[in-house]
Amino acid sequence: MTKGRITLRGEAETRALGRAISRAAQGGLAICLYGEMGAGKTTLCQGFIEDRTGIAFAASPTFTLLAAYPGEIYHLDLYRLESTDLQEFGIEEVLAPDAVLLIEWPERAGAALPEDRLEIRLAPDEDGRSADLSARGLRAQEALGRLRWPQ
Amino acid sequence: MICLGIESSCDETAAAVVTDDGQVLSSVVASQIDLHEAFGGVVPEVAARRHLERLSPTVELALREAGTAPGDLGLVAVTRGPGLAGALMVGLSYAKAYAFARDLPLVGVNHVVAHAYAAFLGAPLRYPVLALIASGGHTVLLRLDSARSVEVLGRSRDDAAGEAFDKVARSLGLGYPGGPQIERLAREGDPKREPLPGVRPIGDTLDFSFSGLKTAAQQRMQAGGQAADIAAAFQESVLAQLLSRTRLAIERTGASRLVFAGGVSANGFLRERLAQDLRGVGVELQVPPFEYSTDNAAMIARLGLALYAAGETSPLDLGAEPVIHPFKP
Repeated sequence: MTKGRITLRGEAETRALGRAISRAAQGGLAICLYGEMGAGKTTLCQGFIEDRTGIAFAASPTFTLLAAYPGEIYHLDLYRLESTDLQEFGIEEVLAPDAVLLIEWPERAGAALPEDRLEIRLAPDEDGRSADLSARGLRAQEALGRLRWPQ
Repeated sequence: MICLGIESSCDETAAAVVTDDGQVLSSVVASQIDLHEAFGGVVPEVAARRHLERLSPTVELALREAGTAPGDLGLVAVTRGPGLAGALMVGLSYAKAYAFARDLPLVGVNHVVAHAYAAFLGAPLRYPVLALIASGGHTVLLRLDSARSVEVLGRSRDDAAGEAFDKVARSLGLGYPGGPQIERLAREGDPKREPLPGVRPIGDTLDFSFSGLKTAAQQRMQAGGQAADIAAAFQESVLAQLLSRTRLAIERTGASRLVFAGGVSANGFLRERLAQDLRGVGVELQVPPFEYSTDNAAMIARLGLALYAAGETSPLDLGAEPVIHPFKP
Protein backbone atom coordinates (compact mmCIF):
# COMPACT_ATOMS: atom_id res chain seq x y z
CA MET A 1 0.00 0.00 0.00
CA THR A 2 1.39 3.38 -0.93
CA LYS A 3 0.40 6.98 -0.72
CA GLY A 4 1.20 9.24 -3.64
CA ARG A 5 4.23 11.45 -3.59
CA ILE A 6 3.98 14.26 -1.07
CA THR A 7 5.76 17.53 -1.79
CA LEU A 8 7.26 19.28 1.21
CA ARG A 9 8.08 22.95 0.80
CA GLY A 10 10.63 23.78 3.43
CA GLU A 11 11.51 22.50 6.86
CA ALA A 12 8.23 23.53 8.47
CA GLU A 13 6.28 21.21 6.18
CA THR A 14 8.70 18.34 6.79
CA ARG A 15 8.17 18.83 10.51
CA ALA A 16 4.38 19.05 9.97
CA LEU A 17 4.41 15.71 8.15
CA GLY A 18 6.20 14.24 11.18
CA ARG A 19 3.39 15.54 13.39
CA ALA A 20 0.71 14.14 11.07
CA ILE A 21 2.40 10.73 11.07
CA SER A 22 2.54 10.84 14.87
CA ARG A 23 -1.23 11.28 14.97
CA ALA A 24 -1.74 8.37 12.58
CA ALA A 25 0.76 5.96 14.13
CA GLN A 26 0.05 3.58 16.96
CA GLY A 27 2.26 1.49 19.25
CA GLY A 28 4.32 -1.28 17.71
CA LEU A 29 4.96 0.56 14.45
CA ALA A 30 8.43 0.98 12.98
CA ILE A 31 8.93 4.04 10.82
CA CYS A 32 11.93 3.78 8.51
CA LEU A 33 13.33 6.96 7.03
CA TYR A 34 15.40 6.70 3.87
CA GLY A 35 17.21 9.59 2.24
CA GLU A 36 20.59 11.18 1.84
CA MET A 37 22.27 13.43 4.37
CA GLY A 38 20.26 16.64 4.60
CA ALA A 39 17.09 15.09 3.15
CA GLY A 40 15.08 15.98 6.25
CA LYS A 41 14.99 12.69 8.16
CA THR A 42 15.84 14.18 11.55
CA THR A 43 13.51 17.15 10.96
CA LEU A 44 10.60 14.77 10.30
CA CYS A 45 11.49 12.82 13.46
CA GLN A 46 11.60 16.07 15.42
CA GLY A 47 8.03 16.83 14.31
CA PHE A 48 6.91 13.37 15.42
CA ILE A 49 8.67 13.58 18.78
CA GLU A 50 7.40 17.11 19.41
CA ASP A 51 3.83 15.99 18.78
CA ARG A 52 4.16 13.11 21.25
CA THR A 53 6.30 14.67 23.97
CA GLY A 54 6.38 18.44 23.58
CA ILE A 55 10.17 18.26 23.14
CA ALA A 56 10.64 20.57 20.17
CA PHE A 57 14.23 19.88 19.22
CA ALA A 58 15.10 16.24 19.63
CA ALA A 59 18.86 15.92 19.19
CA SER A 60 20.27 13.84 16.37
CA PRO A 61 21.15 10.39 17.76
CA THR A 62 23.93 9.78 15.24
CA PHE A 63 26.65 9.40 17.88
CA THR A 64 24.54 8.03 20.65
CA LEU A 65 22.81 5.67 18.14
CA LEU A 66 19.62 5.53 20.14
CA ALA A 67 17.52 8.05 22.03
CA ALA A 68 14.52 7.12 24.15
CA TYR A 69 11.59 9.44 24.78
CA PRO A 70 8.63 9.29 27.12
CA GLY A 71 5.74 7.27 25.73
CA GLU A 72 7.86 4.40 24.41
CA ILE A 73 9.31 6.33 21.49
CA TYR A 74 12.75 5.32 20.29
CA HIS A 75 14.74 7.37 17.80
CA LEU A 76 17.53 5.35 16.18
CA ASP A 77 20.21 6.44 13.75
CA LEU A 78 22.19 3.62 12.19
CA TYR A 79 24.43 5.99 10.21
CA ARG A 80 27.59 5.09 12.10
CA LEU A 81 27.06 1.41 11.49
CA GLU A 82 28.42 -0.10 8.31
CA SER A 83 26.06 -3.00 8.63
CA THR A 84 24.41 -4.71 11.51
CA ASP A 85 21.25 -6.48 12.32
CA LEU A 86 19.01 -5.08 14.95
CA GLN A 87 19.48 -8.14 17.15
CA GLU A 88 23.17 -7.41 17.38
CA PHE A 89 22.29 -3.80 18.02
CA GLY A 90 20.64 -5.08 21.20
CA ILE A 91 17.34 -3.60 20.09
CA GLU A 92 15.17 -6.24 21.73
CA GLU A 93 16.44 -5.36 25.16
CA VAL A 94 15.15 -1.82 24.95
CA LEU A 95 11.91 -2.30 23.07
CA ALA A 96 8.54 -2.69 24.64
CA PRO A 97 5.90 -4.26 22.35
CA ASP A 98 4.05 -0.95 22.13
CA ALA A 99 7.12 1.08 21.30
CA VAL A 100 7.23 3.28 18.23
CA LEU A 101 10.55 3.18 16.40
CA LEU A 102 11.84 6.00 14.26
CA ILE A 103 14.79 4.60 12.31
CA GLU A 104 17.16 6.77 10.29
CA TRP A 105 19.53 5.05 7.86
CA PRO A 106 17.52 1.78 8.06
CA GLU A 107 19.41 0.41 5.03
CA ARG A 108 22.35 -0.21 7.39
CA ALA A 109 20.23 -2.78 9.22
CA GLY A 110 20.13 -5.07 6.20
CA ALA A 111 17.35 -7.63 6.33
CA ALA A 112 16.79 -7.30 10.05
CA LEU A 113 14.18 -4.53 9.97
CA PRO A 114 10.84 -5.08 11.71
CA GLU A 115 8.39 -6.67 9.28
CA ASP A 116 5.58 -4.26 10.07
CA ARG A 117 6.96 -0.95 8.96
CA LEU A 118 6.13 2.35 7.35
CA GLU A 119 8.77 3.34 4.83
CA ILE A 120 9.34 6.99 4.09
CA ARG A 121 11.68 7.99 1.29
CA LEU A 122 12.79 11.60 1.36
CA ALA A 123 14.51 13.21 -1.60
CA PRO A 124 15.16 16.71 -2.85
CA ASP A 125 13.05 17.78 -5.84
CA GLU A 126 12.40 21.04 -7.71
CA ASP A 127 9.76 22.20 -5.21
CA GLY A 128 11.84 21.43 -2.14
CA ARG A 129 11.60 17.86 -0.94
CA SER A 130 9.42 14.94 -1.74
CA ALA A 131 8.29 12.14 0.51
CA ASP A 132 7.12 8.73 -0.72
CA LEU A 133 5.24 6.71 1.85
CA SER A 134 4.64 2.98 1.63
CA ALA A 135 3.32 0.48 4.13
CA ARG A 136 4.48 -3.06 4.80
CA GLY A 137 2.32 -4.96 7.21
CA LEU A 138 -1.00 -4.37 8.93
CA ARG A 139 -0.08 -1.69 11.45
CA ALA A 140 1.69 0.32 8.79
CA GLN A 141 -1.30 0.06 6.44
CA GLU A 142 -3.65 1.21 9.18
CA ALA A 143 -1.40 4.13 9.96
CA LEU A 144 -1.23 5.13 6.33
CA GLY A 145 -5.03 4.88 6.10
CA ARG A 146 -5.39 7.24 9.07
CA LEU A 147 -2.85 9.75 7.83
CA ARG A 148 -4.41 13.13 7.12
CA TRP A 149 -2.33 15.01 4.60
CA PRO A 150 -2.50 17.77 3.62
CA GLN A 151 -3.76 18.62 7.08
CA MET B 1 42.26 11.87 48.61
CA ILE B 2 42.97 9.76 45.53
CA CYS B 3 40.22 8.75 43.09
CA LEU B 4 40.03 5.99 40.52
CA GLY B 5 38.00 7.13 37.50
CA ILE B 6 36.40 4.75 35.00
CA GLU B 7 34.95 5.63 31.59
CA SER B 8 33.26 3.29 29.09
CA SER B 9 30.39 5.28 27.62
CA CYS B 10 31.21 5.11 23.94
CA ASP B 11 34.43 4.74 21.97
CA GLU B 12 37.07 4.53 24.69
CA THR B 13 37.78 2.24 27.60
CA ALA B 14 39.62 4.43 30.09
CA ALA B 15 40.86 4.51 33.68
CA ALA B 16 42.70 7.24 35.57
CA VAL B 17 44.04 8.05 39.00
CA VAL B 18 43.58 11.68 40.11
CA THR B 19 44.15 13.52 43.40
CA ASP B 20 41.60 15.85 44.96
CA ASP B 21 43.65 18.88 43.99
CA GLY B 22 43.39 17.84 40.34
CA GLN B 23 46.79 16.26 39.74
CA VAL B 24 46.65 13.41 37.24
CA LEU B 25 48.76 10.52 38.54
CA SER B 26 47.87 8.41 35.52
CA SER B 27 45.41 8.37 32.64
CA VAL B 28 45.11 5.34 30.37
CA VAL B 29 42.87 5.33 27.30
CA ALA B 30 42.46 2.11 25.34
CA SER B 31 41.10 3.50 22.10
CA GLN B 32 38.59 1.64 20.01
CA ILE B 33 39.11 3.90 17.03
CA ASP B 34 41.13 1.28 15.09
CA LEU B 35 38.24 -1.07 15.51
CA HIS B 36 35.77 1.58 14.43
CA GLU B 37 37.78 2.46 11.37
CA ALA B 38 37.39 -1.13 10.28
CA PHE B 39 33.63 -0.94 10.88
CA GLY B 40 33.17 2.72 9.90
CA GLY B 41 31.78 3.60 13.31
CA VAL B 42 30.69 2.27 16.63
CA VAL B 43 29.17 -1.18 16.67
CA PRO B 44 27.30 -1.37 19.96
CA GLU B 45 27.72 -5.04 20.79
CA VAL B 46 31.29 -5.15 19.57
CA ALA B 47 32.03 -2.01 21.59
CA ALA B 48 30.59 -3.50 24.79
CA ARG B 49 32.55 -6.73 24.37
CA ARG B 50 35.72 -4.77 23.72
CA HIS B 51 35.15 -2.67 26.86
CA LEU B 52 34.74 -5.86 28.83
CA GLU B 53 38.01 -7.29 27.55
CA ARG B 54 39.96 -4.10 28.07
CA LEU B 55 38.64 -2.60 31.28
CA SER B 56 40.41 -4.77 33.84
CA PRO B 57 43.91 -4.44 32.26
CA THR B 58 43.28 -0.71 31.72
CA VAL B 59 42.51 -0.17 35.42
CA GLU B 60 45.52 -2.24 36.47
CA LEU B 61 47.79 -0.24 34.18
CA ALA B 62 46.42 3.06 35.50
CA LEU B 63 47.10 2.03 39.11
CA ARG B 64 50.58 0.78 38.22
CA GLU B 65 51.50 3.94 36.29
CA ALA B 66 50.26 6.07 39.19
CA GLY B 67 52.21 4.01 41.68
CA THR B 68 49.01 3.73 43.64
CA ALA B 69 48.06 0.66 45.61
CA PRO B 70 44.34 -0.11 45.73
CA GLY B 71 44.52 0.56 49.48
CA ASP B 72 45.55 4.19 48.78
CA LEU B 73 42.29 4.95 46.96
CA GLY B 74 39.57 6.94 48.68
CA LEU B 75 36.93 7.08 45.93
CA VAL B 76 35.71 5.37 42.76
CA ALA B 77 34.08 7.57 40.09
CA VAL B 78 32.36 6.14 37.04
CA THR B 79 30.41 7.41 34.02
CA ARG B 80 26.74 6.59 34.38
CA GLY B 81 25.58 8.29 31.18
CA PRO B 82 24.89 9.38 28.58
CA GLY B 83 26.22 6.66 26.29
CA LEU B 84 25.51 3.22 24.93
CA ALA B 85 23.64 1.08 27.45
CA GLY B 86 25.77 -2.04 27.06
CA ALA B 87 29.01 -0.08 27.16
CA LEU B 88 28.01 1.91 30.25
CA MET B 89 27.01 -1.26 32.09
CA VAL B 90 30.51 -2.68 31.71
CA GLY B 91 32.13 0.30 33.46
CA LEU B 92 29.38 0.62 36.07
CA SER B 93 29.42 -3.05 37.05
CA TYR B 94 33.19 -3.01 37.36
CA ALA B 95 33.20 0.20 39.42
CA LYS B 96 30.45 -1.02 41.74
CA ALA B 97 32.19 -4.34 42.34
CA TYR B 98 35.51 -2.57 42.93
CA ALA B 99 34.01 -0.08 45.38
CA PHE B 100 32.07 -2.81 47.20
CA ALA B 101 35.04 -5.17 47.49
CA ARG B 102 37.31 -2.45 48.88
CA ASP B 103 34.66 -0.64 50.87
CA LEU B 104 35.16 2.60 48.96
CA PRO B 105 32.56 5.27 48.28
CA LEU B 106 31.20 5.34 44.70
CA VAL B 107 30.11 8.36 42.66
CA GLY B 108 28.34 8.13 39.30
CA VAL B 109 28.98 11.09 37.03
CA ASN B 110 27.58 12.65 33.89
CA HIS B 111 30.00 12.26 31.02
CA VAL B 112 29.11 15.54 29.33
CA VAL B 113 29.49 17.63 32.49
CA ALA B 114 32.76 15.80 33.19
CA HIS B 115 34.19 17.19 29.94
CA ALA B 116 34.18 20.64 31.59
CA TYR B 117 36.24 19.28 34.50
CA ALA B 118 38.98 18.21 32.08
CA ALA B 119 39.95 21.89 32.12
CA PHE B 120 40.64 21.59 35.87
CA LEU B 121 43.16 18.79 35.57
CA GLY B 122 46.40 20.32 36.78
CA ALA B 123 44.55 23.62 37.17
CA PRO B 124 42.56 25.07 40.05
CA LEU B 125 38.79 24.63 40.09
CA ARG B 126 36.91 27.85 40.71
CA TYR B 127 33.18 28.45 40.45
CA PRO B 128 31.13 29.70 38.79
CA VAL B 129 32.11 27.94 35.59
CA LEU B 130 30.80 28.79 32.14
CA ALA B 131 31.54 25.85 29.84
CA LEU B 132 31.10 25.16 26.14
CA ILE B 133 31.17 21.41 25.59
CA ALA B 134 31.37 20.33 21.96
CA SER B 135 31.79 16.66 21.09
CA GLY B 136 30.44 14.06 18.69
CA GLY B 137 27.31 13.42 20.69
CA HIS B 138 26.68 16.74 22.42
CA THR B 139 27.02 20.47 22.06
CA VAL B 140 25.93 22.36 25.18
CA LEU B 141 26.62 25.55 27.06
CA LEU B 142 26.63 24.98 30.82
CA ARG B 143 26.86 27.17 33.86
CA LEU B 144 27.99 25.52 37.08
CA ASP B 145 27.68 27.14 40.49
CA SER B 146 28.96 23.95 42.08
CA ALA B 147 29.44 20.36 41.00
CA ARG B 148 25.86 19.71 42.07
CA SER B 149 24.34 22.80 40.52
CA VAL B 150 24.52 22.66 36.74
CA GLU B 151 22.35 24.76 34.46
CA VAL B 152 21.99 24.15 30.72
CA LEU B 153 22.09 27.55 29.00
CA GLY B 154 21.97 26.26 25.43
CA ARG B 155 22.15 23.07 23.40
CA SER B 156 22.25 21.95 19.81
CA ARG B 157 18.83 21.75 18.23
CA ASP B 158 19.91 19.08 15.78
CA ASP B 159 23.41 17.71 15.16
CA ALA B 160 26.27 18.04 17.61
CA ALA B 161 29.28 20.02 16.38
CA GLY B 162 31.52 16.94 16.30
CA GLU B 163 28.88 15.02 14.39
CA ALA B 164 28.82 17.79 11.76
CA PHE B 165 32.63 17.56 11.51
CA ASP B 166 32.42 13.80 10.96
CA LYS B 167 29.61 13.99 8.41
CA VAL B 168 31.21 16.79 6.44
CA ALA B 169 34.48 14.82 6.48
CA ARG B 170 32.63 11.91 4.93
CA SER B 171 31.14 14.16 2.25
CA LEU B 172 34.64 15.45 1.48
CA GLY B 173 35.93 11.89 1.15
CA LEU B 174 37.93 11.97 4.40
CA GLY B 175 38.08 9.25 7.05
CA TYR B 176 36.92 8.82 10.65
CA PRO B 177 37.30 10.65 12.98
CA GLY B 178 36.63 13.66 10.81
CA GLY B 179 37.73 16.54 13.04
CA PRO B 180 41.53 16.27 12.68
CA GLN B 181 41.22 15.56 8.94
CA ILE B 182 39.12 18.64 8.30
CA GLU B 183 41.51 20.80 10.32
CA ARG B 184 44.48 19.52 8.31
CA LEU B 185 42.77 19.94 4.95
CA ALA B 186 41.41 23.39 5.85
CA ARG B 187 44.96 24.76 6.13
CA GLU B 188 45.32 24.30 2.37
CA GLY B 189 41.98 25.92 1.60
CA ASP B 190 40.62 29.42 1.23
CA PRO B 191 37.55 29.96 3.42
CA LYS B 192 36.33 32.78 1.18
CA ARG B 193 36.17 30.78 -2.04
CA GLU B 194 33.21 28.62 -0.98
CA PRO B 195 31.63 30.67 1.82
CA LEU B 196 29.00 28.75 3.75
CA PRO B 197 25.96 30.36 5.31
CA GLY B 198 26.30 31.58 8.85
CA VAL B 199 23.68 30.38 11.29
CA ARG B 200 21.38 33.07 12.53
CA PRO B 201 20.66 33.31 16.24
CA ILE B 202 17.69 31.15 17.20
CA GLY B 203 15.37 33.64 18.87
CA ASP B 204 17.06 34.94 22.01
CA THR B 205 18.23 31.47 22.98
CA LEU B 206 21.79 30.23 23.27
CA ASP B 207 20.97 27.17 21.19
CA PHE B 208 23.10 25.85 18.34
CA SER B 209 22.27 24.31 14.98
CA PHE B 210 24.73 22.50 12.74
CA SER B 211 22.48 20.45 10.47
CA GLY B 212 21.96 23.15 7.82
CA LEU B 213 25.67 23.89 7.70
CA LYS B 214 26.43 20.21 7.20
CA THR B 215 23.97 20.03 4.31
CA ALA B 216 25.31 23.23 2.73
CA ALA B 217 28.88 21.88 2.83
CA GLN B 218 27.73 18.66 1.21
CA GLN B 219 25.91 20.55 -1.56
CA ARG B 220 29.02 22.64 -2.30
CA MET B 221 31.01 19.46 -2.65
CA GLN B 222 28.43 17.95 -5.01
CA ALA B 223 28.47 21.18 -7.02
CA GLY B 224 32.17 20.65 -7.68
CA GLY B 225 33.76 22.77 -4.93
CA GLN B 226 37.30 22.11 -3.78
CA ALA B 227 37.34 19.99 -0.62
CA ALA B 228 40.05 22.12 1.03
CA ASP B 229 38.08 25.35 0.48
CA ILE B 230 34.90 23.77 1.82
CA ALA B 231 36.75 22.44 4.87
CA ALA B 232 38.13 25.93 5.58
CA ALA B 233 34.75 27.60 5.12
CA PHE B 234 33.08 24.97 7.29
CA GLN B 235 35.49 25.61 10.16
CA GLU B 236 34.97 29.38 9.85
CA SER B 237 31.22 28.90 10.00
CA VAL B 238 31.41 26.60 13.06
CA LEU B 239 33.68 29.14 14.74
CA ALA B 240 31.28 32.00 13.99
CA GLN B 241 28.44 30.11 15.61
CA LEU B 242 30.41 29.03 18.69
CA LEU B 243 31.60 32.61 19.09
CA SER B 244 28.22 34.28 18.75
CA ARG B 245 26.61 31.97 21.33
CA THR B 246 29.45 32.12 23.84
CA ARG B 247 29.74 35.90 23.55
CA LEU B 248 26.04 36.16 24.36
CA ALA B 249 26.41 33.71 27.28
CA ILE B 250 29.30 35.77 28.63
CA GLU B 251 27.22 38.94 28.36
CA ARG B 252 24.34 37.33 30.21
CA THR B 253 26.33 35.66 32.97
CA GLY B 254 29.14 38.18 33.38
CA ALA B 255 31.66 35.34 33.26
CA SER B 256 35.34 36.23 33.06
CA ARG B 257 36.46 32.75 31.98
CA LEU B 258 35.13 30.25 29.49
CA VAL B 259 35.94 26.56 29.54
CA PHE B 260 36.00 25.02 26.05
CA ALA B 261 36.12 21.22 26.20
CA GLY B 262 34.99 18.03 24.46
CA GLY B 263 36.49 16.43 21.37
CA VAL B 264 35.90 19.48 19.16
CA SER B 265 38.07 21.57 21.50
CA ALA B 266 41.04 19.51 20.27
CA ASN B 267 40.72 21.50 17.03
CA GLY B 268 43.66 23.92 17.14
CA PHE B 269 42.07 26.41 14.76
CA LEU B 270 38.95 26.74 16.92
CA ARG B 271 41.02 26.94 20.12
CA GLU B 272 43.26 29.71 18.86
CA ARG B 273 40.56 31.80 17.26
CA LEU B 274 38.20 31.51 20.25
CA ALA B 275 41.00 32.45 22.65
CA GLN B 276 41.97 35.41 20.48
CA ASP B 277 38.45 36.74 20.21
CA LEU B 278 37.63 36.30 23.89
CA ARG B 279 40.88 37.98 24.93
CA GLY B 280 39.55 41.03 23.11
CA VAL B 281 36.64 41.23 25.54
CA GLY B 282 38.73 40.44 28.60
CA VAL B 283 37.65 36.82 28.91
CA GLU B 284 40.15 34.04 29.49
CA LEU B 285 39.70 30.82 27.54
CA GLN B 286 40.43 27.75 29.58
CA VAL B 287 40.96 24.58 27.55
CA PRO B 288 42.02 21.15 28.75
CA PRO B 289 45.37 19.78 27.61
CA PHE B 290 44.84 18.09 24.20
CA GLU B 291 44.94 14.59 25.68
CA TYR B 292 42.00 15.40 27.94
CA SER B 293 39.76 17.10 25.38
CA THR B 294 38.59 13.77 23.98
CA ASP B 295 37.06 11.04 26.13
CA ASN B 296 39.18 10.03 29.12
CA ALA B 297 38.74 8.90 32.71
CA ALA B 298 40.76 11.65 34.41
CA MET B 299 37.89 14.09 33.84
CA ILE B 300 35.49 11.52 35.30
CA ALA B 301 37.64 11.29 38.43
CA ARG B 302 37.94 15.10 38.65
CA LEU B 303 34.15 15.55 38.59
CA GLY B 304 33.70 12.57 40.92
CA LEU B 305 36.01 14.18 43.47
CA ALA B 306 34.18 17.51 43.18
CA LEU B 307 30.81 15.81 43.69
CA TYR B 308 32.14 13.82 46.65
CA ALA B 309 33.54 16.98 48.22
CA ALA B 310 30.06 18.51 47.81
CA GLY B 311 28.58 15.60 49.75
CA GLU B 312 27.41 13.30 46.96
CA THR B 313 27.80 9.52 46.82
CA SER B 314 25.94 6.94 44.76
CA PRO B 315 24.34 3.72 45.98
CA LEU B 316 25.64 0.35 44.80
CA ASP B 317 22.43 -0.19 42.83
CA LEU B 318 23.30 2.83 40.69
CA GLY B 319 21.91 2.29 37.19
CA ALA B 320 23.08 3.43 33.78
CA GLU B 321 21.44 6.44 32.19
CA PRO B 322 22.16 5.65 28.57
CA VAL B 323 20.10 8.46 27.12
CA ILE B 324 19.30 11.66 28.86
CA HIS B 325 16.92 13.63 26.62
CA PRO B 326 16.69 16.47 26.40
CA PHE B 327 20.16 16.68 27.88
CA LYS B 328 20.00 17.02 31.64
CA PRO B 329 23.09 17.17 33.82
